[in-house]
Parts: sequence; structure tokens; C-alpha cells
Amino acid sequence: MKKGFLFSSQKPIIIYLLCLILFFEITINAQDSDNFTSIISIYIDDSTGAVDEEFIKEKISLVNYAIDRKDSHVHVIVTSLSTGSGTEYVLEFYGKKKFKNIDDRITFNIYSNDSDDQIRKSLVYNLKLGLFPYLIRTTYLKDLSLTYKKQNLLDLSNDPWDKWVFTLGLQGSFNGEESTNTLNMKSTFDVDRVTEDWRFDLSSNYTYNKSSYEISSTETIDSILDEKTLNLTIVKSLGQHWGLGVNGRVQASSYSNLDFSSKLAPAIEYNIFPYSEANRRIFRIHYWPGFYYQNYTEETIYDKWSEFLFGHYLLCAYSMKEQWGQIDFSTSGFHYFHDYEKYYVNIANTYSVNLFKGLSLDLYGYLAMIHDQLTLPKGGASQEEILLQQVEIETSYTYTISLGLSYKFGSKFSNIINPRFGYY
Amino acid sequence: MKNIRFFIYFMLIFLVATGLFCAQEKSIPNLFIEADVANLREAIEKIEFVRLVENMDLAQISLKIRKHDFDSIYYLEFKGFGDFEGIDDDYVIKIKSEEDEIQSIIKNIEIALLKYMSKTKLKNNFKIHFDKNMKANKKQEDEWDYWVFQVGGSINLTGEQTRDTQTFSGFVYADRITDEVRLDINLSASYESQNYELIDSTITSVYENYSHTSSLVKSLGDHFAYGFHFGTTQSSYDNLDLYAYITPAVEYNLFPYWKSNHYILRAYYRAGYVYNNYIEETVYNKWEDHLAKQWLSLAFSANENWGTILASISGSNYFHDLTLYRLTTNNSIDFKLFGGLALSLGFDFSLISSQLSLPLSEASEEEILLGEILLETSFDYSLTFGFTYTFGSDKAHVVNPRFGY
Repeated sequence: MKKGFLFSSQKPIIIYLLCLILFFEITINAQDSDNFTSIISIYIDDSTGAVDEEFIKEKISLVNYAIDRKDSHVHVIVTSLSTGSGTEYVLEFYGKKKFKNIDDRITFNIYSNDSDDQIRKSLVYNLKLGLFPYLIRTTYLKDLSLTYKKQNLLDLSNDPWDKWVFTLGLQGSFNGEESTNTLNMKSTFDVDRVTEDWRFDLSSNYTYNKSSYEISSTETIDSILDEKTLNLTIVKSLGQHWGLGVNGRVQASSYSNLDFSSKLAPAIEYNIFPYSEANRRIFRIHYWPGFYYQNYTEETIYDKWSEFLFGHYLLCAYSMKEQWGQIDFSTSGFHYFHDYEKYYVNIANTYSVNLFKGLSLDLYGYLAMIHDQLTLPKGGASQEEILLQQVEIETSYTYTISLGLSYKFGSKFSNIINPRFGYY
Repeated sequence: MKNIRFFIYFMLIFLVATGLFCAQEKSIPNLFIEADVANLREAIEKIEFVRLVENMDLAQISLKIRKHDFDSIYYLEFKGFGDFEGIDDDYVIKIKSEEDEIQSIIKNIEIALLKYMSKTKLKNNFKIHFDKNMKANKKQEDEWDYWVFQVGGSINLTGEQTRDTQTFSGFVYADRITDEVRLDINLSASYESQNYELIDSTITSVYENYSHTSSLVKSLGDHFAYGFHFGTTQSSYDNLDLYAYITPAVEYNLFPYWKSNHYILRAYYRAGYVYNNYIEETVYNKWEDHLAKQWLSLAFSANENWGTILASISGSNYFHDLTLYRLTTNNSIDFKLFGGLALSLGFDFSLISSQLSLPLSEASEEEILLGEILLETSFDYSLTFGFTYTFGSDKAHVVNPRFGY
């Protein structure tokens, strides 16, 4: 009796009714308009790394893909920001030439374990939505069709998990050949809850890497890296410009000679721009005073096995993304209160600029003055440890300078995909 | 009994229908229209994703429609309010004489409304079809004849008190891709020097690689292709002062090539001439070799909603001595299982008996630790796995960028 309850003689009627409700569709065939007859050229400016250009070219073949932003009619800036359950992508459309002042902004969400295919499909769908306002002004509208499907739209306000998201992860790799082998293991556990008012961010991970090198038939060198971290950040929003929070961390690290270390730091942040513009520009000043307790694996160069410390940190960071490129600038400093000589300051700069006609310039500079290496072991590092970069080494500075220049030119109609011979 | 069952069915359908209806109702935007054209109102009422309202104050979108008196030109003026504040748009629509005027203008209005709909929760309920056969590149004047060039270079310097690294690299790419022929020319150069200050000495490690690869591929329908590869390489890691090859190649793909973004199953064969000139004398007491070599590979890839699969097996050998071969298999899967469970697995393995460039002199301890030079081996392997399980809210779409990440 129970078995046939829902799926007996009335089955066709139910299915029919449900189909009627769920998939009642109207089909629209788009129409010509005589305003613009040449092909639209779009420039996709991706700062997320998620754009699969070949897939987009396959799915949206009725526009042209410019290699120079200045040749385009529509400049699309793709940016992303993290959410509790994944990523929010933002597509910002800027009309140029005949489409001047026709701009649009579309956002969509991706779950953290959506497949690459789901991500690229969502990107294509939203790109199509955003291109309609331009295509409606061209003769190519006849090649488009639009169907509206009244379907199961669930009430988003009903969330039994109340925005809590939990992630468990385990990654491992094992590789080698006759005389060398490496084992890498990492496990993670994250708990997040992101709302407009609060952010709760707990992340923990355990990393264990071991490498063996057979130097000769009698000598083998083993190198081990062992790191455990538990990090908790709680942030309270105070309007569009302020944030208040606390950060706590427990850590053990073979790289830094830490048997056990803990940190507790209240923090405050001010952003000159509203946080709602964070995907495009942010200028934040961030400050925290922190308490530390550290327990060392080996005696340090300052003859300590453990110590309580008190220090404070100030960061000033600016990032912006515009049609011509991207700028990131940050500077930060820290010192311990028990000895003002124990400090570090650093400065980092990135310029990624699309100069003109396919010419782009990337500049990166980083400089840090380091005088706070309290954890350095007294015994120093062996030759193997130095070469394998498995331990922290004494230094008073570190720097990186990189300069990249790239110039792309040629055909404006590079839309064709020809996957033959792939990656031989 | 039958009545009870019928009643329950009825209630169930009613609940589902009202539930859906309410959910839809909340998200459907209100549209206010001001039109001096007859019959248009009834037609607009039929648009399912907006609700027509009589009162301008209730509207999230207002639409003013004017028609030119003598010909079929319509002016549409959209204005957004509330959540749509600032989203305004004007259109001029010319209806061709052979078309149904009302029907055409409704279609244009529906498409214009998408700009608003893309900001609502209903935005995923559309099916958009772009005609695939409509290719933008057809009938285009192209002064560059499909050639695209790219030139670039980079310098990277990093360091601290007792160690530093300098890296210089440059590249030139030229390609011409059409449906019939693909031509790729790549030139690349990289030089890296690492210095380590030890207690009583300084170790310098240099890695150099200069290479040129060219390939020409001719399409033969949707499944076949043939072509040539030509290339030269200089590599300090591989003890090669010059490695040069020229090989014709053929390929068969079981799936049509236009499905390559989703599925590929290809068999690929090439054979030809190889020249090696060694930096140091090899374990075979050679300074150079002229050889004939062949390669065969089978590769499968799939990229779908549920994840990706890559699997390949390939082998190569030299004709002068069939015991000099290399057999390799590379496999990876990345599955999005049910719920929030994701699984990835990778397995690579090679059987190697063709290390012709292996230097006679033994590698030093520093060279081994820094991974600077080819080491003797008859196999290599790599096994990877990853497992992620996410559970909890699937509505946590809020962005809160305070304190960075």
C-alpha cells in the first residue's frame, strides 16, 4: 500500500502537472535592428585566472576577441573575491567606441568545489547575459535566442546551516626515481562563516614533507619539513570603512625552530574606499598589538628556550584594478616592545600595466629589513639544510625585483581554435 | 481511501505550486509602462519575468515607449529604481516591413529587460542560445592574415645576506591558426644562477636552457591531422649542447576536434631524425649522436560537470638499438562526487632505458641536492591524491573583505 502511495495510477497526471509548473517555457527569437553592422570585438581582462579562453571562443563565436584592449568595443574586467562557500565573480562591462557609456556589472557565485567545467559554463552564461545590451544594438541579434524557464527557485532565506561552511582536506604526493624520493602530505580543516556583519575564519593545517637523496652508495641525506598551524580570525564590520577583530594562532614549525608558539592579537582596520568596491580598489590601514609565547626546539642564538613577547604591527596597503592595468602597493612594520632594535619593515610594489597596442609591463619590487629573527637556532644550519632551504637562515635583508615586458601584435581575428596535435 | 489519497496529491501539488509561485513572486520585478501605442500593453503582460504595475511608485523598472508617426521606428526608454537605481537605457528599434510589429517589439523589450534580470535571482532561469555557425571571423579583412606575434622578457632578482638568485628569460612566439592549418613557432631562453654562501665556501649553481620548437599541422577533416615538428634545444640539466630533431607526425582523434573542450581520444605517431651533441662525455663514451627515433602515444581527456580525466600512455625508442626506450604513463582524475565531496588522484610512471645524455662524471652532492643535473635512473614515478569534503551552508555567498585573507 505504502509503496504505491505516490507512484501508482496517478503518476502520469502528477508528472504532467509538475512538468507544466516547472518547465513552462516561452521561446523568443531575437530580432534585427539596423544600428550596428560590424562585428563586436571584446577584450577579456582577467585577473582571476579562471577564464578558459578557448572555451569562451567556442561558445561565443559571434564576437571577435581583441588582443589589444583599444581595438575592442567592449572591455570586460573579470575580478573575484572569496565568500564563505566559494568565490564571487564580478564581470564589469565597459562599452567603447559606438557603445560608449553602455556599462554593466554582473556578479555570480561559485562553490569551492565546483568543477572547472561548471565554472567555465557559469562564466560563459554570465558573459552572454552581459553582452545582450550590446548585441541588441547590432544586426547579430538574429543569431540569438532567449528562453525563459519558470523553474524551481528555492527560497534562499532558508539556511539550516546559518552560513557555516566546513571543509576537510587531505592531499598527498609521493614521487621519486632510483636515487631520490619525496613524500609530501598536507591535511587541512577550515570553518568559515561570512556575513555582512561578522566573519569567522578558522583554518588549520598540518604539513609533512620528507625528501631523501642518495649521495653515494654509503651516504643518504634526509630532509624533513614539519609544520602545524591553527589560525582563528574573527572580524566585526563597523560600517563600510571600518573593521574590528581578533586573531589567534598556535603553531609548530621545523623551518622556524618553533616547538610551540602562540599569538593573540586584537586588530583594527580602516579602508579609505568602501569595502563594497574591494574587487576594484582598496586602501587599508591595519594595526594590531600582539602577545606571543614561544617555545623553541633548539636553544636560540639569544640563549633562550622559551619566552613571552609583546609586539605590534602596522600595515598600509593599496590595490587598484583599472582598464589600463593593476597597481598594488603595501608597506608594513613590526617591532617587539622589550627591545626596539628587534624589528622588521618591508615594502612591496606591483605594477601591471597595459601600456599601448598589446604592450604590457609587469614590475614587482619587494624589500624587507629584518632584525627580529628571535627563533634562529644557536647551532646554525648545515650545508644540506642551506641548499635544500629547509630552515630559516640568518639575514638582515631580503629583496626581490622582477621586470617583465611582453608585446603582442598581429591579426585582430585570432578567434579560431585548432586543437590538432595538442601538446605533443 | 481514494479520496484521501486524491486530497493528499492535491495538497502536495498545491503546496509545491504555491511555494514555487511565492518564491518566484518575490523576485519578479515590477514594470511600469507608459506607451502611446495600442495593443502593446496586453502583449507586455504576457512577459513572464516581469509584473506589470499601474502605479509608478511600485515600479522597479519604468519603460517609456514612443513610436515615430510615419515609419516603424520605436524609441524605448528604460529607467531603474530601487535595486536597479542607475540602470537606465535607451534603444531605437527599427522594425522591418515584413515582420509582425508587435511581436518584434516585444522580443526587443524582453532582451532589453535582461540587463535588469541579470541582477535578480531569476537570472539563471534563462536559456541563451548563440548560433554556433555564426563565426565572427568569416568575411573579415585581415591585414595580418591570421598571424599573431608575441615577444617578451623578464628579469628576476632575489636575495638575502647569504644567498641570492638571478633569473633571466625571454621568448618569441609566432602563430597562425586557421581551421585548415596551424603553424606555431616558439623561441625561448632562460638562464638562472643561484649562489649559496656556506661556512667555508660559496656554491654557485647555473641552469641554462635555450630552445626553439616549430610545428606545422594540416587538418584532414574532423578526425585526422598530419604535420611536421622541428626543433633545437640546449640544456645544461640534460647535458645537451645541442639537441635537434625533425619529424613528420600523424594524429587520429576518435572524437571530432570541435569537441576538444570536452573530449579527446587521440593516437599520435611521429618518427624522424635526432641529433645530440653533449656538453660532457656521456656514460656511453660519446660526444655526439646521429639517431633515428619514433614516438607513439594514446591520450584521453574529458572535461565535464563531474570533473576531469586525463590519461595517456606513450612510448619512444631508437631504431639503432631497440633496448633504448622510454615508456611513460600519465593519469589524473578529478571527481566532484556527491554533496561536497571532491576527490583527485594522479599516477605517473616511466620506465627508462634511454638516458643517452647521462654524463660520465658523477654528480656532486650540491648538484644532487639542488636538482641541477640529470641523475641515472631506470624509472621515475609520482603518485598524488587529494580529498576535500565541504559541508554546511550552501547559501554563504556573502563577501566580507575586511582584514584581507
